[in-house]
Amino acid sequence: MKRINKTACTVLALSLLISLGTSCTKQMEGLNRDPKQISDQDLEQDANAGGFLLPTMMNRILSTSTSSQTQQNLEADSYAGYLETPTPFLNNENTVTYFMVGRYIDNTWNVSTQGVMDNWLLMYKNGIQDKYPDLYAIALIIKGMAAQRMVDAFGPYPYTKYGSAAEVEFDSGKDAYAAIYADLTTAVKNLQAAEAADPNADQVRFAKWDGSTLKGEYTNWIKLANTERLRMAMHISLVNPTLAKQWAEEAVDPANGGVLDASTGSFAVYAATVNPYYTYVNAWSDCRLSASIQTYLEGFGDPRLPVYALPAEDPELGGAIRGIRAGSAKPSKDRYVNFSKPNITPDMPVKQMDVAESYFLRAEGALRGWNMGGDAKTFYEEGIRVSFQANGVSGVDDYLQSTTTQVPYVDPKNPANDTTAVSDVTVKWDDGATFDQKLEKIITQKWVAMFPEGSEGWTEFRRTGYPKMYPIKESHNPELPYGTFIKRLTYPPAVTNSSQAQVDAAVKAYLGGHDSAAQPLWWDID
Amino acid sequence: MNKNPTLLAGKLKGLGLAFLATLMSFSLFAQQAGNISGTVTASGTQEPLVGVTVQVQGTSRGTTSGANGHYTLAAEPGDSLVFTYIGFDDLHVVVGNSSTLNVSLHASAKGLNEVVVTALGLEKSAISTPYTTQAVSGDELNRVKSPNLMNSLAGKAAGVVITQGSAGPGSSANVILRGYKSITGNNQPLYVIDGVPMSNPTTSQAGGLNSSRSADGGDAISNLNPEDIEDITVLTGASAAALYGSRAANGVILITTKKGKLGVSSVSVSSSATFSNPISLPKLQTEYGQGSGGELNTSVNDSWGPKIDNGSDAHLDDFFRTGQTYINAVSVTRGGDLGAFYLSYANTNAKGIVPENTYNRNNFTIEGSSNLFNDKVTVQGSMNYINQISRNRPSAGWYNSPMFGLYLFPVGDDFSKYSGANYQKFDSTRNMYVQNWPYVRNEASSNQNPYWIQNKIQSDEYRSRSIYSFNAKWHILNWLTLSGRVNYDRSEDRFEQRSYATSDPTTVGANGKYVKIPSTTEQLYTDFLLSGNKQLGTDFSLAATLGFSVTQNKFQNIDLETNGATTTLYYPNYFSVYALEGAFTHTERLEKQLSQAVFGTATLGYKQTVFLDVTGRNERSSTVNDPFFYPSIGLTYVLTNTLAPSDFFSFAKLRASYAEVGNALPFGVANNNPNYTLSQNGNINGRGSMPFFSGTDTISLKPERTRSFEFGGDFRFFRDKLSLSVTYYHATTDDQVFQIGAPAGAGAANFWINGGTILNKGMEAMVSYDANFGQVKWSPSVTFSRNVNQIRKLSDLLTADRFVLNSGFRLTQLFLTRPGSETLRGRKYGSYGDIFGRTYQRDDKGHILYGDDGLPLLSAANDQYLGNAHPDFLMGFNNSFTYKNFSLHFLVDGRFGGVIASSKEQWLDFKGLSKRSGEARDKGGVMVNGKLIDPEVYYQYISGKADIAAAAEEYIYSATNVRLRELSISYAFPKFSNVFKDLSVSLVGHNLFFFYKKAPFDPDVSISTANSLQGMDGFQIPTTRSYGITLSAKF
Repeated sequence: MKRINKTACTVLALSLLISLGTSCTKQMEGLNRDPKQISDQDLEQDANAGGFLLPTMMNRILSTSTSSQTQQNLEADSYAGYLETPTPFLNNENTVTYFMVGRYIDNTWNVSTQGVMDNWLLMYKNGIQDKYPDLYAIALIIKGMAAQRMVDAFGPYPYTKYGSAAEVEFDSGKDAYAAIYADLTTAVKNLQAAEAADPNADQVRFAKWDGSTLKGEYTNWIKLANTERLRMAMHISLVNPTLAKQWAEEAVDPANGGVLDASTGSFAVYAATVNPYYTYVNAWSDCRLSASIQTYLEGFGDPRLPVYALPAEDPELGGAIRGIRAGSAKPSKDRYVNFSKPNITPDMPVKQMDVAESYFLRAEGALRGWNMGGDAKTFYEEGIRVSFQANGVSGVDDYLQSTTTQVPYVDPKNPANDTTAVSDVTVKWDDGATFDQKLEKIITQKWVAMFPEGSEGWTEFRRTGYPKMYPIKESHNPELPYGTFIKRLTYPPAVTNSSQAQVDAAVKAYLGGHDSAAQPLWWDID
Repeated sequence: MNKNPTLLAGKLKGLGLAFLATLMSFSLFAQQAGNISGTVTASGTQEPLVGVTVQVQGTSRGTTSGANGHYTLAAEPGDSLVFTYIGFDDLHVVVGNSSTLNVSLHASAKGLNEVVVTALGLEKSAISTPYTTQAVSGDELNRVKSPNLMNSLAGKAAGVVITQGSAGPGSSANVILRGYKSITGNNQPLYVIDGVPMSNPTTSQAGGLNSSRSADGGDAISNLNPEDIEDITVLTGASAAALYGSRAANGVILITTKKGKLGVSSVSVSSSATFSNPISLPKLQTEYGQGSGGELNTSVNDSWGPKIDNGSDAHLDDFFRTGQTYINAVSVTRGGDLGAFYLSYANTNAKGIVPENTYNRNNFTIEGSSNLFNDKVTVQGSMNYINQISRNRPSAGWYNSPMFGLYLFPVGDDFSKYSGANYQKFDSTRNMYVQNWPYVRNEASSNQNPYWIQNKIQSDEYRSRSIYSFNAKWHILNWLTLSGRVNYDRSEDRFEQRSYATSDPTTVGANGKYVKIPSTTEQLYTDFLLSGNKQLGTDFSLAATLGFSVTQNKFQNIDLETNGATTTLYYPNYFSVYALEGAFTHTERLEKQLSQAVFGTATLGYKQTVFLDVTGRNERSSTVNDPFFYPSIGLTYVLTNTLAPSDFFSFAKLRASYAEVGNALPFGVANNNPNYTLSQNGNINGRGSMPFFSGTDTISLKPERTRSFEFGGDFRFFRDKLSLSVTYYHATTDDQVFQIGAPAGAGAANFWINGGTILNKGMEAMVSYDANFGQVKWSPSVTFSRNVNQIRKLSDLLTADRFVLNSGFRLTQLFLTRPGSETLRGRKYGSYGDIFGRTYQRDDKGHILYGDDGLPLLSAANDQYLGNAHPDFLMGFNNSFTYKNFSLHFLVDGRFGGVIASSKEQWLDFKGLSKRSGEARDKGGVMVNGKLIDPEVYYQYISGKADIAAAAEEYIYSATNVRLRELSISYAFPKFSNVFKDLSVSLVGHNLFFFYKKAPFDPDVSISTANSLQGMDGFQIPTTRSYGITLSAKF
């Protein structure tokens, strides 16, 4: 009896072991994810699966978080002559003095590539292009705008084959442009179809995702896409005038829905916390006005100047608005930290595309003899009016007659930076002026209106040479000596570390074999 | 006890004192009457043996010897007593007429009965283990105490590399057995307490140099009370650890805790006070003041100004205070007819060397066991409660490290304007105190008053941890047992940080910053083991265990904090969740893991001479898609059983084994569709890191697998006086799991990939000797270990020549290089820990090339090989001398080879603070290649202005060092009272001096214990030299 008891217990114990060994397998399922984060299943409700990535994508064109400091503020915003830093980062040997700091440029690449391109890919893999062609169209517009900036900053970029393999070939800038243009065309068609089917579809499906100033209206986004198409057309106006004309005329064709206008306003995106430029200007004291924008606006007597910038706090400047000259020597941060701050408020949305740009683009198109639905002078003056209106300033009629010019730059901290004006351009339109003089007026006024979004400002400066700018005082890049201006950003370590072979191939094929900041992009010919 | 009541009472307040009183009352009942008593000692050394089983033959009456080897037992004259003790021959003595019976036991020549603790807490006959096991006793660990007991293990076992964390008392220890095996995964060994694996998550780590909250939060092992530890067994190899499967790839540290023992009753009290001071502070020039270009400029914190006569670097020493650590512990153990129990309490109270940094820990342990059902069933249970509070642990990064502002303070300025109470000044506009520091805005980082950081960027880390364990063992048959264990370990942590208004403006908003992170870490472990041990016929023996285990882990936290400088508090210096304004950071994590395993082990012995050991484990883990199986096999041959043992050759054993173990995947990484994180405003972020995909296919990530073999031998000579143990091992880790930056255009920010193969091979050896010179006994031992690490393969899924591990350091980068790559520059294989940066350009003959400006030319990119962070070999020389009641122990610890890069030295050059930059100015310039170069130009050039343009080669230092790591002198008082069984006093010292060191800092400390931050010296607090006194008594 005792013996049997023991055996029975042993068998019982063993069977317990075995049953425990097999019973728990089901518990494993779904454990390997954090349930406090949101799942694809959660997002099925309310059809959120279609558009949930759009807000993040919108926020990563020009980032609405502080990553935009290294993404753009310390590069394009300075190269455009809008904003300068008083901070001698790396003892002043940094991107604003043309020294290519890899870990800054990493962000120029990563913010949009990861924030826009990767999320577009996720939408594509989720089949949104078929399930919600209208929401997918929004993704295509954001993707196109972000990619155009990347192509204009670096040149070759992996656009057409993005996500098709682990390591993909880079497109030439030209091929990328064509593909972006085609995507924008698709987007416009999809949105027009959605509008035609149900004019209220956007408010139902999209408005909740639109954290921008476009208020979730598909008609506004169509205008944004068309303005982007017009912008790209203009960028290639020198290198391929025929295609440029075709693209531009398509973009402004009223049948395609029009371009940005006073009713839409600028395209700007609200930040999750505060406008990051507010942080750079105030908490970090890393961002001040540039001498270029200050001297032009002061010279024109432009009423937008006091809206764009605050009087300098430095007692030596007696309350004037004064910017910092690009490439100034900065023995310490103290020297320029009390120069003028750009006037950014915490709740201001981050501008991605200015409303007036569409007018100046059409003005230039008309100047080039394209059918823009009007003449250059009209678009030029309308552009200025729209910009005045957007900035809430009056006096536009007087301004349009203004014939004063840029003032010299005076730096009380370092007279070596003083310089006479480099341009004699005036505001008043002159029908008798040369093509170049008219172009300078258009580009200069466009530049004034687009402040402070530096990406397009830098691109147009490279393409047209306008507005004329002071040479940067001190360059820390031997390939860009005094008197020259930076042409592109070099590929950052984030890209070369993981994709050296593809970068080498692209540099060889499209950049003359040299990954250099002095290498002009394909549209940059003159 | 009564002799010196103040020392103890001063430290044991409230609960501690009451607890002690309770313990004392136990000890009053601990006296036992009996007919026969005596002392058991070891033959030869006459050392008392504790825990010897004494039994009256043929009866169930028995006891075990207590402290001092004393035993008392009821026995009649004519009874036969049997004394049995592990490692000693049994002794039979017939009781005579005397009531005192002192005996001495002979050590068993062959050590045949020696038992070692192996995986799962299974005891195995030492001669049958086919792998190395190294035991370090609790006494050895407690000789020179450290708040983190693992730091006391350094140099005492072969093949163990221990790097201390950098956050003062309570920092974690980076423990590496046989080299780094995993690149992004866990490299820490598995800690097993009484057979149960412990989860050892570090609460937080220095995340890098750019992080604003980067203090080492301590690890779970550091929570334990060193006094509770009976011994530690280090299983360096995979074979020994194979039964633990996926968590054991990095070896196992088995901890056996003290338990109540039958027939033993004692109370132990120990009290130690240790004082510490920083060593290896940087050397500064004091001849040149603030400014640049030789011109005075008080607005900058550079010291390239004019010559001064009031320069001083006294602020470095002045900032630090003498660190103090008081550890008081008391334990009581008693065993009787009903069972045995063990109780202990310990308090650790430390003040770090930086102001306001304190650490306090209380450990309570209660353990008990009893035999039931005619001793057929043994039940045992224990509970540990630990509470720990760390305040103001110093950070290591650039942002909140007090060392940054301290080391870079311009020597021409007067620090007393900002030190002590002057760290703040009253701002009448804001009606509050603000930071008093003119250098807040620094060109490349933030710079804050170190006193402000310690006083006004306050952090509290509370931990309350409970460990409950219960086990029952049923002796079903005399050769078969079934046992079950349950262990529940729960830590609750609360982190709170309060940064006052006017702290670093780049990370703290105008009204201040507040961080609150409560978190909970739990582990529930259950196992069942069925073990049999049977002699099969006359020649064969079989010991086998079959088991099943379930481990459930859960981690959860909530993080509420202001969002950098973009959000702040509603009201200045009002620190509460109520105060968080706008879109503050609010995140939540919940991670659960479940792992189930079935395993078995068997040892087949033949004539106690040849042993075959096999294990197998099949595991299913929630972080891995498929179940995985790990086997091991080992063979042991005891030579001395076939060759006749002689006086010269007393024991010899050869062993060989092969094992496969793995490293399970980190939480979530193998999930192809992980959930999404959200931004502060509800926006849903995409997926940043994904398992590798190639357009269409996504890989199914596999756990890392280490295949290792080892062989070696254990030899003893001259009647066991000289022992030698040697092991060679060769461990290949395949399917290394990396997180790498995804290629451009791939469609993810990062990929998780089974990306490569790492080989670790090397040897471990230990020699020890017991020598007697008259009354002096000398026991020296030497440990040696060498490890070679090679990257044998990188994944073919990607074409890149190297994978980047860390490029965020502004001096060097860490890469993994593909075999055959040109960047290896002639080396056949790269290894983990390779450091890359800029080097000087050299001609064919190795001469440095210079530019027209006279400056040395540097390599175009910062990707040149500079050296490896890991040592070539380690040696420890441990000695103990005893003479009468005196004993002397010292440990000389050497680490040879390896390099460390110093960002601190780079900054000192950049700022004109380094000693050499002053000397160069005295000489009128730096003589470079026959040209005199302006020192400011030269040092700003080679330091790259403290950034990546630096000549990193210049800031690479040899990590070789030999130090007197531990010294203790003890005196055991002769017995002077019946109350005291033992009373001893020791003077101890730690890190006393270096015999050899080239680096201008202690190369054994690292910014962080994180894998990717090894071999980097930044602005962590300096290491310390400590000395102190320990009193211990037994009643």
